[in-house]
Amino acid sequence: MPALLFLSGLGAGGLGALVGVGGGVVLVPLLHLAFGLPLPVVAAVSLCSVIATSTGASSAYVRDGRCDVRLGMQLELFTVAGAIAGSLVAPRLPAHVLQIVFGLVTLPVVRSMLRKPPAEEAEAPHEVKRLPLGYAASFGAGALSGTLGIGGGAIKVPVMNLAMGVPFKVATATSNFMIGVTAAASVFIYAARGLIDLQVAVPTVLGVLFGAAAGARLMPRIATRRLKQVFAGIFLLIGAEMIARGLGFDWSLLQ
Amino acid sequence: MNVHPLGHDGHDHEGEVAIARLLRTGVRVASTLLALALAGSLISGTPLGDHLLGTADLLAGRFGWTSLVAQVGLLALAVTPLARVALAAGLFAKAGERRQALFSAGVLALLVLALVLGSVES
Repeated sequence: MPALLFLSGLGAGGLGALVGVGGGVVLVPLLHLAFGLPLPVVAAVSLCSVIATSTGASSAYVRDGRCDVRLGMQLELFTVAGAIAGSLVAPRLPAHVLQIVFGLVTLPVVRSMLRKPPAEEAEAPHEVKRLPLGYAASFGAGALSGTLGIGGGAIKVPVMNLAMGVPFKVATATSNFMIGVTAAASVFIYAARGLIDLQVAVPTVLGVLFGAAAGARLMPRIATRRLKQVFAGIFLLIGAEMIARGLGFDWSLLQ
Repeated sequence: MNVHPLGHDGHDHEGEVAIARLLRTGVRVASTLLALALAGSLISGTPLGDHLLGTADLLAGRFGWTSLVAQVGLLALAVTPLARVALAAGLFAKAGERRQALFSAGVLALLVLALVLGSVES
């Protein structure tokens, strides 16, 4: 079991880094559908992994000045509030509701994977617009993070970039910077509820860390466009599977 | 609102470096401890356990060293972002940026609230 979990984390972290999504969005359906683990336990493990990858990556973003620390600190007030609300509510939600919500969240994730990164933009200084919208989106992203164990970047990055005037690369780095703190708030609550399973968490978190580091090194050397298209299709199928399970739809009827 | 990401204008690059160093150190310490715990568990054949150790477990000595190391590793991981927020709050306060220091203090207060709510819930 630890070896399988380590390999799952390795795959989720590596794939997440290669296709530009957080490890959580790969890890949650993998641990839930393949290992049959309950969603709140999976969310807790995924959030630990999210802290690890976000912290490692954001140390480089902050050092290189790619991250808007001031904006990140403002928005994370709202992501953390959302995460607390989400993680308090999540264990009380029936499994089928969580499955449906996760299935719906795969849509913005797929959109972010298929979106062509905009041409090089000036990174600083930039004027931030529509802050209240950013606060609201951050609260929503935090709530989804706390409920499902994902980072929520697929919601924050487009809002920051398209609605708030933050350059794409700065938006990505700033979102990453915020994710660790957001996930930590939820982890404290999940931990106190006894939902952190050491046997599952330790090998998975280590696998994700190694996988994300390997994926980041591999990314410049391989063409990721086709990979993103293939995995966007797979994510759509996973989303459909989660929604179908949530609705109690029996796939065997189709066989 | 004009926002200059830290470091782009050079004057507060030291603060940025301090935050980056703290994050890197935290994740390195945590991953080393987790690797040590997993290796120890695999070599000794002792399972890590399906839950975090509680005060009662610790007082009664009902734990293996691998579980303890794993738990300290996860704690280091979860506390690193909290330490980053505290450091940023201090840096903003020192630089006289009251508004930013207040936002950081607010995030810190919410993280403490999460800890308290978690304890109350359990």
